[in-house]
Amino acid sequence: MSTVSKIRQALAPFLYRALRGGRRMRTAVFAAVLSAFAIAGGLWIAYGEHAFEREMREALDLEVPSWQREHETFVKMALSDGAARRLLRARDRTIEILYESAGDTGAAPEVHELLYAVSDGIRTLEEAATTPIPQRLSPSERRRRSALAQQASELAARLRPRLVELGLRNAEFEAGYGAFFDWKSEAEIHRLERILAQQGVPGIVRYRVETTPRQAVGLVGFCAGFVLFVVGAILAPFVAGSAIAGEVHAGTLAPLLCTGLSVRQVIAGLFSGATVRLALAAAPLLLVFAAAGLVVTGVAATLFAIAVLVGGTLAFCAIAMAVGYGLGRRWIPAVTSGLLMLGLVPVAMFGWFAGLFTHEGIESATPFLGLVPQLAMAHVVRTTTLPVDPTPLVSGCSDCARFDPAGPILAVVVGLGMLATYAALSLRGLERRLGGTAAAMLTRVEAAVGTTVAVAGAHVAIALAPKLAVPDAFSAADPDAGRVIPLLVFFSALPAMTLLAAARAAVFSPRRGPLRTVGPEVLATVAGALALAVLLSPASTLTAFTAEEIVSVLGRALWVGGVFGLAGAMLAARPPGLAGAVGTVLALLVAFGTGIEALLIAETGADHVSNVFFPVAEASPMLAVLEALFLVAIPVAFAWRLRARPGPLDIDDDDDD
Amino acid sequence: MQIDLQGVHKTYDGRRWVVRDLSFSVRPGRVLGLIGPNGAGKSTTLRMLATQMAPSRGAIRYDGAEPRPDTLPSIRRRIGFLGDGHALYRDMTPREYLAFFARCLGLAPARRRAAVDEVLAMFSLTEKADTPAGALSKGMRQRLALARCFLHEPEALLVDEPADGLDPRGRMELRRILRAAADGGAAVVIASHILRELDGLCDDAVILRDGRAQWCTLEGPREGTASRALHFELRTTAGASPRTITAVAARHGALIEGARATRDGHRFDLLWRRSETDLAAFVADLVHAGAGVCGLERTCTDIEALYDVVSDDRVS
Repeated sequence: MSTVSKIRQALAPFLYRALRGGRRMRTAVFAAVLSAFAIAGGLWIAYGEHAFEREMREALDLEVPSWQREHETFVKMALSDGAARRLLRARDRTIEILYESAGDTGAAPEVHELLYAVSDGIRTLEEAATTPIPQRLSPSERRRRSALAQQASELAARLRPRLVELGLRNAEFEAGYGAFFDWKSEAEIHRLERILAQQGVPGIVRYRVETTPRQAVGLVGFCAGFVLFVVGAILAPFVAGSAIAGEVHAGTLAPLLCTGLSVRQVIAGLFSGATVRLALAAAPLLLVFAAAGLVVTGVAATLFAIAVLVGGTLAFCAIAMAVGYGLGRRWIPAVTSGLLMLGLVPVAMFGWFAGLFTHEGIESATPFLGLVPQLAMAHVVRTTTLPVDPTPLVSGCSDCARFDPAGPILAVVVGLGMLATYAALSLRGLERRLGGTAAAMLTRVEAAVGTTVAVAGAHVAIALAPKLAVPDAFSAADPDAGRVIPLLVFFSALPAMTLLAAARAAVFSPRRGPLRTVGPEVLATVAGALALAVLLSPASTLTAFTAEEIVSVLGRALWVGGVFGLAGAMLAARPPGLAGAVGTVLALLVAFGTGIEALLIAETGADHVSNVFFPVAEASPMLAVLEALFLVAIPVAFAWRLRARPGPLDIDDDDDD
Repeated sequence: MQIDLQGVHKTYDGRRWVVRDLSFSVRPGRVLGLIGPNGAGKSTTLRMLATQMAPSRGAIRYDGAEPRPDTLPSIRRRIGFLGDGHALYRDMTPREYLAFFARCLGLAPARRRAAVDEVLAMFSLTEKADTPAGALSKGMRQRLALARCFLHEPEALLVDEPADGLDPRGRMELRRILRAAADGGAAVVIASHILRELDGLCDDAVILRDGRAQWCTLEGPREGTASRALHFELRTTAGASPRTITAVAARHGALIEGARATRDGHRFDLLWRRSETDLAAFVADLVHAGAGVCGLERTCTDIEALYDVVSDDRVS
């Protein structure tokens, strides 16, 4: 049977099941409604004049924030014709108050608003009048600025008494307390000119939406992309994971496997059946997104974004199915679905917002790409439909030349590569479990590959980060930050290592117990990952540490990794009861805290603490004793739980590699 | 399809054998009863037979060959397996459910429609064909689950507690259907702890107790194993002498396990280990001796009697 026939045979029953009856029509209607909402939503944000739409455009860098425009051009924005009329009347009244000393300010809020703006403008005038003009400017520029400073001084002197009289200024000018006018800034000079031209009273400008048709198209595509992101990062994995949990609960996997479909075919069928309606509903949105991408950024970027979205969705579904199967064997489908949702939504939302607003350099988030690949999906949605000019990033930066536009693309590829690895491992594990073999979900080699990819991926991602775009803490070029990089990389790989340990420990040799079966390899994996994290770090990293620091920092890192690995093995091999679960959570919190402590020790170094092994001893020796107690007790407790419990049977079915 | 088990063991935790050293054959055209009390290992054995799990030790061969990853799908396609539970989709109607599995089995459209209609009729589900499974009664759901196993005319039928939830008529129909399947050449394995359901249906029996196989056939006593024993209740008139009856029974090798006087006469519990011809001679002797025989009635079935012999009365 050809591969196509096999795929067709596998998918046909599940697609029939998912689309039987009126489901196909309902899905089509839902798809149309969803697309209409995405298009309407995009146009609404593009052309809406209300606060929400305006703030959305401002957040997405499609529009200069109102406060910024008001400050830079010395105007007040009127959001409606009525407000414009009121502000114009208030402006006339303000001029009367300022220049004709016409009574008090009255009760009109617009007048107060304008007077505060006048006060703000006078402050700029005073700053310009008192800030020396830099010597390094050309003579003509100095002359121009001197003239402006003179005019500013005169206008400020003229208006200040009236403002003091109105209680809007102190009698004494507060110059000298940090007041400074940036004579090198053209924007500041422009504002100064505007203040002078308008005699210190802001102009009134009716707010108009200035969204271009291209931006509107981009916004429509962005809304479609958001829905696609939600589908790919939340809904599709959720339904795929829930579907297999439901099959486990209903006991239908055994009959399905008895139909002659291979395990792979059943997995593919379950996936397609669970997600086909979502796929059909999302298909028009994908077209909308693609069309918008083509208009805004072109073919290559659009295809890349679609590949990222589709690939990310498939990978998340694969992982969710493995997780759903594991959870479904222990809990009812409702609980499994709830747990899946709890796991998917916060991470996806974090990934969305991080991806949305790290457009200034997704590389800054690269250590997290392996943990939150949703970030990569959000990033491509954003940059495909609403591209951001990188120029502001590099302006005024001495390292401008190091900015590489290919960096974000490579970072996304690295993140998705790691995700794809985890997805492939998930599918392998699921296939083994469904196949009814006695083997562990993953072989030692596969677990080692997963760990290496997690560590190396984070390293590659960091290596991609140009210095200007990353915070100091992530910059390999920063000598202090360089000390924490190995730990950051190692810790970013911890969740992957924990899951891999769980996958290895789910099936263990009864005679040897989980600890002897997988314990050594968990510790070897953790040590290997840490070694990889250190060795791939900049050469200066190790030399920057003293021997004591190395023992303290790397020892703690090793301990944290071991605890996470043993916890994963325990949850898979011998799941605890309620009390045990609480204890495990507490132990992991202690491990988390120990990891933070290791980072702090690495960052500050021995110079800043008297006891590099137990810095908490500075606060109280009892805390150090308590910490030492935890460092010993937690691994011992996990090891005790995972010990062999000798039985009468001489069965040993390990050595699956 | 012939399935041979050779020294099959299974443990889940490495501390206790769920089944141990199972060696028997499931032959085409025969019905094998897998019987035993709860927790005896019936369902585990059935799942191993259905290739749903691998033995911890020993081998299971299908037509002489152990399954390999590449042959597993073809072996599974020849098996109809009903495990514990109904394995239904509550939102699917019987017709949709059967059509779904017929598609999974790769049946061609025409054959698929015919097979669905046929098994719907076979299990009296035609009237409920368009009712969601979640709204069906327990018995109807069991019928549907059974119907699924028959869609592709499997060469081996492995069913766990198939009569669970069925009404008397349904049980009779089920016996007829299973017998017909075996007569058609299928190897049938029925796991149950309700022995009367299997009586008269099974050609072979495997009695599991503490994971061990205790007995392997109903065709007659095997050398070195316990003889087949039948339990009867003999009713006599009030005038009959218990001493006479005891003497006749002793001559014919019948063991009187108990006797009690009733308002109408006497009742004797007999254990009979000989053939039915000998039984007829025994009854004739009783009549000839003036025992006033009113009736002779089996008090437990073949299989119950068999189970009684080998399982220390741990029958469910």
